[in-house]
Amino acid sequence: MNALLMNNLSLAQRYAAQVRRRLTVLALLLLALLLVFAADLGTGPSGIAWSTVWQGLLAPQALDEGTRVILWDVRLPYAVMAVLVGAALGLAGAQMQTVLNNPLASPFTLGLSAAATVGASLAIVTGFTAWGLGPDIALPLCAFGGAVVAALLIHLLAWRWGASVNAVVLFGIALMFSFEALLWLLQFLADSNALQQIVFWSMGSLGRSTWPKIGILATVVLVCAAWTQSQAWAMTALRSGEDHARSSGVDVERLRLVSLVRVSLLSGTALAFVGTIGFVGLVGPHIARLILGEDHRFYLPASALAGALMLSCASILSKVLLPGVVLPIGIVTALVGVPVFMLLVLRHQGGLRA
Amino acid sequence: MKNTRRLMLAGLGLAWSLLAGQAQAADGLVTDLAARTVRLPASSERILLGEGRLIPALAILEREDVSRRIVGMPGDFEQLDPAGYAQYAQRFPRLRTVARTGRTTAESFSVEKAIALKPDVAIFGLEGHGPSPNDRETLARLSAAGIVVVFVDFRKEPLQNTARSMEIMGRVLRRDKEAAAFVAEYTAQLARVTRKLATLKTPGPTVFLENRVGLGEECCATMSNGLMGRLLDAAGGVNMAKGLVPGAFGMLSLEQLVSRPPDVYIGTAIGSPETAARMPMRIVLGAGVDAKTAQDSLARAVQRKGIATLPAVRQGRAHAVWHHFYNSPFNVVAVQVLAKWLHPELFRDLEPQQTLAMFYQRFQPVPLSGQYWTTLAPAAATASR
Repeated sequence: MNALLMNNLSLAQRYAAQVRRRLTVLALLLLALLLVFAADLGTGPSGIAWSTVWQGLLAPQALDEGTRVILWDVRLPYAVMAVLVGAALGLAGAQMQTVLNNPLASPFTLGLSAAATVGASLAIVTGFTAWGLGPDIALPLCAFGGAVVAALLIHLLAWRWGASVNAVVLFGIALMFSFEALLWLLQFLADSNALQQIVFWSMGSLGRSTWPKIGILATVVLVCAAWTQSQAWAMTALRSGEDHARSSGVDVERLRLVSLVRVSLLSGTALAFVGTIGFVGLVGPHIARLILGEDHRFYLPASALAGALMLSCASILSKVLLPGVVLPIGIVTALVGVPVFMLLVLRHQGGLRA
Repeated sequence: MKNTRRLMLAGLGLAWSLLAGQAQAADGLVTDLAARTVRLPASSERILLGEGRLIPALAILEREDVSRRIVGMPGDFEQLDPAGYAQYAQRFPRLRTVARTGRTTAESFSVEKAIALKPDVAIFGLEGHGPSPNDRETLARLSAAGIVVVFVDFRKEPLQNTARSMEIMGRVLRRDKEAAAFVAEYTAQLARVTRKLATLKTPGPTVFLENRVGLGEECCATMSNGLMGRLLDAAGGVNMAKGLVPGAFGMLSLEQLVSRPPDVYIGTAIGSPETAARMPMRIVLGAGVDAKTAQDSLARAVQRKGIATLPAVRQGRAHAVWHHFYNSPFNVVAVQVLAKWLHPELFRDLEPQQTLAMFYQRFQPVPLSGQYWTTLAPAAATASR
């Protein structure tokens, strides 16, 4: 029926309709994110009424102190951080999957997360304070450093040695195992206090969200999103094959390099502030691709939105599952992310067979 | 002549009692805290400790030189409580040269090293940072090497097991008399709290017990059914983590804490003067810490987001207690301290400071120095307003 109608339209009209449809889907994703974000703000063990939340957002002075602390120092930073981290990881994963031409690529599977955790653990075990700035700054700094080192290593292989895309992915996976082994070594060497700290850190938690951190991450996400978006056409071209992209004038090597820089910035900053959160960077882009296809003008923002949506849902779940207790969000994303991912893989496989 | 005979008799008597003692030991069986019945070793001249923090307990029995019989121990004491370790190491420098069988975790315990040290007896804790009853392979290897392993416990059920643990250690180390003296005092001191609390009709105040303040960045690590939580229960406090955190410890959400504020805030202190600059959010208590340093560190720690606005903090019902009481034979002192904070009227005549001083004087080779608990100064409480 729809196809019949479409047949009567010109190619340009059909294209415009398709763009409109995709924009509508993007808008729906955004709407869903807003709704889940609102639900996230409204969820918590204290049972504050939604009307109070809304009033408190508009006029914080009117609230009693306890409620103000809950709303402005607990719920709002956690909820905003969930959205930002999810968007950062989704966007990072989407670019990685495109430039490495592999659906398994993500900051988590290619060792960036593990490297960030090693960086943070090093700071914990050595008691590094970033030259007197304190552990609150030293830990994220070292985590970021770890992610950058991993990204640089991957890039060194891809760029200097001109390795194939498959080799890069394999190398990334090997890197992940090496960093995990390093992490175990650090845990073995750590005393029990430091060990506990590493374990908590690596489980991931929104509990470390503060407004300055949110400011930094928001800037990184916005800058990187705009920067990525400006290369959306080149990335779309790359999806139809490296040779095809080259013949259309895309500097594939440069695109790959720039994307990896952005990926390490995005995931490094995000992971530095909340600890290890896996699967969002892997699954977010897959959801986006399923509902919107490969056109990167839509696929990139959709990946960010899907990542944010996922982490917001995980944030709600982490509060609801065990009320009054903090369930590390990394556990929730992995537990929810794995079945979702398996479902996606199965559907994809089924589609190929048919 | 008469003198010689008396001497000979005395000598005979001594020899007989020694023999009898040994015979009794050779026949003697002892049931340890893991409910294992073990045969007492013929000799207990070489001791292997499962945790370095058993030294204060051992010192209760080995009054002259706690280091004399230790041949091996892990490095948890100096890592987790450096100031406390320094006190013993200064008095008994040999402690520094005792072989280390591991670091602070059970995984790092080296069986090979332990066996090579040829200990007669190994004293392990039921749980904690050394080998536990679950490390069956380790235990099997040690017993194959002829090493007698006994389990004691100051941590899992601190108040139920401390007396029994001291008795077991006393039997194994042939220090029954010293053990009995301590157990009598310990039981009496514990009864001073439990007897009075039994008369109480109403439930005590609600308490938020923050575990290892300043360890992580996020709020709110707490202890529930175990560790210091047991001491809080015995002191007549209602732990707000009960029913929320199922295990011994866990993370309470900050929102829960703010929306259901506790009557009293109690943090456990893992800071030392050396870490104060590097980790300013840790509360500083323990050996060699003066009152002002302790109080200032508590005032700093309660300035954190969410904690600062708690009514308990504002109104000066915020306290801190030395973390390592949770694993110490002097845990009863912490019970007295908590009880006095929670029921000031009921325990007006209880002086925990005197109790601790008495324990040190009677049962420890090192002097009591330093603050082991502190309360937020009224000025600091007002400043956070």
